[in-house]
Amino acid sequence: MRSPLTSAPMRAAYALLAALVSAALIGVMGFYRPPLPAIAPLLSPYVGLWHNFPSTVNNQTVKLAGLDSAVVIFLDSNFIPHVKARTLHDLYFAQGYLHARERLWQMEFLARVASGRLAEMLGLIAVPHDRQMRRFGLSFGAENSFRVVAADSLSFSVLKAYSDGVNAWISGLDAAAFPIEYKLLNIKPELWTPLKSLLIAKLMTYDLATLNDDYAMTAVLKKLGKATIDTLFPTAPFFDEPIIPKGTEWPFTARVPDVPDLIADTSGIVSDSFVFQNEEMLTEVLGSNNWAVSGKLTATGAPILCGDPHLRLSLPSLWYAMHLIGPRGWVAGASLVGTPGIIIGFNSNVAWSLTNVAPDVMDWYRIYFRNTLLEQYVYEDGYRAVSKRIEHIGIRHQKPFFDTVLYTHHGPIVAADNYRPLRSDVPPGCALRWKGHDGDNVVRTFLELNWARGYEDFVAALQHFECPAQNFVYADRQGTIALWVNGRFPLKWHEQGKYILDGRRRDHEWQGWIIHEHNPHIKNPARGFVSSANQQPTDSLYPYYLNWIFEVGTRGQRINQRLGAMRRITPDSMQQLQLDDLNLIAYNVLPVLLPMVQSLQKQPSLQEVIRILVAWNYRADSLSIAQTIFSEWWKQLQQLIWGDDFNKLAFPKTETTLRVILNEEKYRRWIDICETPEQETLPQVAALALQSAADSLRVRYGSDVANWRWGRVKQTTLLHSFQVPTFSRILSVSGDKLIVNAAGRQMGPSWRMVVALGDSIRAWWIYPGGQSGNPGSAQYDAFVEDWRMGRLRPFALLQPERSFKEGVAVITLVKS
Amino acid sequence: MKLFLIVLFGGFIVQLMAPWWILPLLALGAGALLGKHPWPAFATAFLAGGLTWLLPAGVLYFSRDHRLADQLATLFGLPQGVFLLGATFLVAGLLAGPPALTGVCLRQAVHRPRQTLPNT
Repeated sequence: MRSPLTSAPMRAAYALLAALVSAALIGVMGFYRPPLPAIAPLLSPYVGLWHNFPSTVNNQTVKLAGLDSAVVIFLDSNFIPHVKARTLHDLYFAQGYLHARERLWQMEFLARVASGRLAEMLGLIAVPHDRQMRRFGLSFGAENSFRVVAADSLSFSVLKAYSDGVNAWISGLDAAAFPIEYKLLNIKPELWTPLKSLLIAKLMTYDLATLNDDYAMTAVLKKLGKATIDTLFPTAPFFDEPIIPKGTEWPFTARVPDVPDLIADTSGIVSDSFVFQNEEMLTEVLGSNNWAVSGKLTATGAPILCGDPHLRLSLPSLWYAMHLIGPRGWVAGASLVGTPGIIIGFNSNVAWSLTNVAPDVMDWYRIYFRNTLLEQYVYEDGYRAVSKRIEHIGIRHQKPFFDTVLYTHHGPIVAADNYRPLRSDVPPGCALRWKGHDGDNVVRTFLELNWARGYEDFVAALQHFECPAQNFVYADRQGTIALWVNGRFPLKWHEQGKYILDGRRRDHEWQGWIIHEHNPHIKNPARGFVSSANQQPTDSLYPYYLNWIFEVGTRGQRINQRLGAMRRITPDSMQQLQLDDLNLIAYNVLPVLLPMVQSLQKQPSLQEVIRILVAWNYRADSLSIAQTIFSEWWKQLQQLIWGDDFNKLAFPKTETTLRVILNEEKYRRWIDICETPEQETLPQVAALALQSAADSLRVRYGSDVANWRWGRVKQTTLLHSFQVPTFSRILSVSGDKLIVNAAGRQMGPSWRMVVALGDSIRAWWIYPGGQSGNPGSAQYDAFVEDWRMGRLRPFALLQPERSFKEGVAVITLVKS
Repeated sequence: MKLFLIVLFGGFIVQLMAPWWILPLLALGAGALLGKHPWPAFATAFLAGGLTWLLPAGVLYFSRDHRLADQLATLFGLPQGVFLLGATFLVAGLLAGPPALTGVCLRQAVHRPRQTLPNT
């Protein structure tokens, strides 16, 4: 019998069908379609995921073009590299090489986040993010910084050496060695450039120096008036504990601009259309601490410096611990991936750490266009021309998107008629004047700081540092301790920029700059310590205006209270202070609130809740149930007090709620719930809030209070850039926002460090992560458990040639 | 047998030098030149192609710290990393099998199949 295959047309049809099926399978398995990876190259054992299993690190010698001479890298048991190079060039080249070796994907991702180039890899899903970043102008700012850095040959040579080191690693990669994230997205690493390092610096600036309430405050001003603002949004902080001790006199006369007749432009706030997202405001923002104690207070007689900067928590961490040994000495501490140098650390002479200042360096100017052509806008008595920056947003598998951003002399117009950003704090039709857009030489700052020999070098280094302003705490071997509230601060009239400003008026613009010597600072104060915790930098004796609001002073007050009481301080007692979890808000308000709700104890549903609160020692440890109840009660209380009067508006800050509770008489009007005919009193509101807090906790976590433990409820999360659970970690951690141990849900102490100075420097450190960026490596999360438990590790200051036997491996980079 | 050996050993060698899509090309060519019947050619190439991935993947999986496989398995809804080895065999099989079958069919479409005569 003849098979049907033997008929010619049928044979051709079968061949065609088979070819189509084959091609379809190849297409389905071979190409990336988000969110599915390209399965064939991912699973291939020739290039795929199998090559991302970590192999043991052995001693090795790598030949690299671009080195001056050989560099020895000794990896210790924590996988911290101790890098020894003969020239500065080689040192930063090796740093770039090591950053790329361990964190290549993270570096590229961060640079793309900053420049708004995620959609090129991720497709349409990332366009809203990219567009927002483009319109905020981070690239514009980074390009301005590039010009400043490029004009300084030393800084530029460091930045270039670092970039060359990154590219030396990338050039040596074959497809099998790409980090797993590249394989999941089916893309190749892009070469590094000096500009990308500056983009990452601008991304840090964006995270730390774009906190602003201008839009929200303008709406409150328009709807409730200036008197309400002065009562509920005052410039005076509740905790009277500034960074520079109270009563400090300033030995200079300041030229402070006069407040003009008009302080805000409320014209763009249209009633009813404005809705403020209070959920966003109620989330944690800042939580960094740093301090230094002089030898007078320590057991050894030498200073101790501590720092725990607070950032969004991620895996891998933004930090990579290093010890750099070069022609100018050595420096160790936390390096920021994608950038050269050590950001927080110590050398043989000095130690330093940073917290955010958050001055108001971000203002919005309402722009009045001459006509609908949007080519000119009104300024003073005439017109000025708009310049256009065309943003080319590449989108994977799609045609690119072109966005035209209008730039005035103030800065870019971020939100416009045809564009609403993801952030809710951007007023439409306003130009952004932001310090982050200005060029500065951040490379020079850390270069000088890393090799500083004493206080003069430290102060000189700070002059290059403009934004994001930081509280630089300092201690040295000679026994000096100091703190500089440091940045380049605009000269402003009182409360300038608390509201949206008028883009037509010269007197609404920044009036120059506060000269560096006038920045708030203090050296060797009588009390024997300096500290900062993001609170207000000074009391009202300081003549200049920096901002109307700073972080609530709970942490600052607690730290100062403890440091003031401590004697014969040791590194151990300093580590304990970093972990202090006293809830100072609860400590202040519970003695007032609890008596108000005692009568509710008869209600079975609240009996246990009240009993737990009464027995509480105000400690927000991970096992505390009371902290969970208080936290929810506090949230409900704010909602009840402010939700009616501030429906659609920004709630007053935590400090005002504190004032309301501790001074009921004065704020009676706000405590009353508008929707009801009766006049509610604080006890009634407190009872209602506690009832709804208990109900809400029962709904979410069940009626067994054992399931309400703080650490489990809070769920501190170290998030991978893919935002998938398998690469991230969810942890039960003590502490909270507004508490010294400021570990929140998404943000927390990103690096902890204690440095004991003296004849030989000793240091301890930990960070929530690990040295490797490879999720498959044991080094990906090697430090997470110690961080979670608040354990610090000693920083081994090893000399490569003397310590070969103690560590993991020696990598020698030689000139090819 | 020839088809099996060529896809297996040829596959090992060419995939060390060229990207993953060389495997279906190899299978197509081998099928066209060496395959006798479509479905047996499919099965042979599926097995040989699958092995060119399974064997090296298995060596890497069992010789190293493979927690990454477990993490990725959860990403794809698989319970354990070892299931990725199965998926790898399947994917490679599907990359090699159908092209080999296609190769046989193409040859048959171009040349009339030889009449199989009883052995004399």
